[in-house]
Order: sequence, then C-alpha cells, then structure tokens
Amino acid sequence: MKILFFAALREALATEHLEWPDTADLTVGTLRQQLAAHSPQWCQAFAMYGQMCAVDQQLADDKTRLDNANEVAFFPMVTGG
Amino acid sequence: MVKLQPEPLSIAALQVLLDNTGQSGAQVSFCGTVRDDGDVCALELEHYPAMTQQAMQQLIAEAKRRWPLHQVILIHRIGRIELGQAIVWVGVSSAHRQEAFAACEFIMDTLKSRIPLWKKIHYRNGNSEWQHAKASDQRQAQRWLTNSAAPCDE
Repeated sequence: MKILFFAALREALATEHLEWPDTADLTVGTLRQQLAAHSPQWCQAFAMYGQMCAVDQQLADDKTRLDNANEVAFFPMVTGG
Repeated sequence: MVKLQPEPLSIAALQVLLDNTGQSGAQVSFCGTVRDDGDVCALELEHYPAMTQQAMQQLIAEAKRRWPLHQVILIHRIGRIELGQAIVWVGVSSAHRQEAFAACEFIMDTLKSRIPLWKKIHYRNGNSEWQHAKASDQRQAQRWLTNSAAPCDE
C-alpha cells in the first residue's frame, strides 16, 4: 500500500510518500498512530497537520478499514477556493 | 465541466460557455481572487492530482442531485497565483434564480471543506506559510448538512 502526504504535513515529515507492507486489520486511525510513533517529530506533525485522510482517493475517517486499499493519503485541513 | 489549470482564468470565455441556449432563466457565478491580507504578494495552490478532479466532479454531481440545474462549470487554479488574480470560478445555470444561487453557494462552501487543495501564502518579504483552515469555513460547509439549509422542494 502506498501512503502519500501533502502540503504542510509533507513538509513537516520531509516525506512525500512511502510504502507500507501490511494492511490486515488496519484502520486509518491505527495507521495514523503507527506513523506518528515513528518519532516525536512525526507525532507532532500528525497532530498539527494530519487531520484529514483519503483512502483510494475518497475522503475517509479514522474508522475506515484499509483491508484492500491501494493508496492512503494524509493531509491538513483543506484550504482551496 | 470541471477543470484544474495552472494558467490564468479567462472569465469572459467561461461566462459565454455557461449559457447560450436560452434554456436557462438564471445564471449565477462566483469568482474567488487572491486578496492582500497584509503584505501578501501571491498564493501557491498544491493539490492531490489523483483525487482533486474526481472530487470536484462528485461535488457537482451532488449539487445536481439537490437542485434542478442545467449546467455547472467549476474551474480551479493550481500553482502560483498573483495578487488580484482569480483562484476559482464556479458558474451555475438553471430555470430560476433560487436554485442557481443556492447551488453556487453550496459548491463553494463544500469545496472549501472537502476538495484536496491547500494554499501557501507568499509575502513580499520573501517569507511564506501555509494558510490555516478557518473555523468559519467549516461552519459554512456544515450548514448544508442540516435540514434548515436544504433546498426547497417546490
């Protein structure tokens, strides 16, 4: 599964994307926790800029399951328009 | 019609596209532009290329389910946008003005809370920062989820 980061979150993590090996029994919420556990910097970045998520290009929430997901994106609150 | 483009918007041309058949009794459009909130010289719009356009199409489909609309055009700039230039243009045509006004407002409010676009503000002194989401924008979008703001059924 591919994980993408955008905007302020991408800059704070200094990472555009990464591969995640295992999606069994994962939800968006548990994946976010696992990513945030990478380091104190990542934990802070997710707290500040990782509020929104899309699974296979559809907006998702923490309860969304990732069993068959190909692509998950985390990003800050959107500010278009 | 939905489009993302790095080039400046040609609003007169968009307005012509909106209606021309004489079928619509109402055309409502909105244009959002880069505003100088204090030493702002430009905005830079980042987006999620694989998702943005289809999310905009879903938004238009939702507007068309809610109101009897003839045509909807939604164009958003990406990349760097200079002060005073248009960021977004939405045009709606319908038989009567009420549904065109409502749909135009719905599309803008919902775009600001659901479409994966992010503004970075560039200042004249060379600094830049990501724009923070506004609580007022979230409230504006939320009101379309309540019955009180639902379209009338007449």
